[in-house]
Amino acid sequence: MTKSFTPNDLIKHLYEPETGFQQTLNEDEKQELTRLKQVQNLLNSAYTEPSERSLEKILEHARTTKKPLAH
Amino acid sequence: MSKIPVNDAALISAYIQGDSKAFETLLNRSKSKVYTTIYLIVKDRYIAEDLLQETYIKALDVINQGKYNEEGKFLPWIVRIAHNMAIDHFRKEKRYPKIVLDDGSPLWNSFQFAEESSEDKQLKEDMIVNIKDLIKKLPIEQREVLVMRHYEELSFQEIAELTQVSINTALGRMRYALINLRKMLDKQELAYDKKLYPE
Repeated sequence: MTKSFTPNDLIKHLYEPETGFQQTLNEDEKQELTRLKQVQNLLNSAYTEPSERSLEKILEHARTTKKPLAH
Repeated sequence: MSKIPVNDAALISAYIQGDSKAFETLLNRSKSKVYTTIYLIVKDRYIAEDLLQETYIKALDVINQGKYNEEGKFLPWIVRIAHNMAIDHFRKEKRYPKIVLDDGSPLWNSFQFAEESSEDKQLKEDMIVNIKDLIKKLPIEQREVLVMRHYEELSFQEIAELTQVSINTALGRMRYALINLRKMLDKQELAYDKKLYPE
């Protein structure tokens, strides 16, 4: 017999998974979880890279403020 | 050629000892997450670039002063600095309200003060699915939780505490954010199909 979960339980599991949770889901819940995972995966494509110029400025600050290399 | 340690805490130790390459590795590991967090809040590439630099410079200063004490949790630490930098940006611009609400509405309303840039308007005209653009269309409370959970990697417990709502409310907002994104994606896909294959 499967336990009934709230929609919020699925969201919690999506981001903070618990072992064995998926085995207790019914078919509808599994499908909903799959659809949510698809959106979650798409969110990873929103990552944006900063410009090389910005990175170089940061690295320059890191180089100029660091202590001398210890021997 | 020196071997670069893989652990963030070890990289910070190496940088403190004088190995600037160790910091470069840390930067490369974290830059995308930090920049995306800032960008999704301020919605302006130029401001986001400035705030990114300020974020890392602040982090470097803390590390160089020997005040870093995050026990290896560099990424969540620097993402929090980035988030606060973005919020402070609005405070400086006097576009961020005082935190006083009696009706129980969310206190972290910072996102609504990011104005839409001309770049964003161009994106809206684009039929190709752009998830960043869709995230910006979400209601403030949903976008806030989504950015905090997905990009800043805060737990729902932490989000609930920071936004002063129950965990269930935070979870519900995240759920609606994902559902709304899915609906917008479906709608865009349909519009794109109609453009490609007009009836």
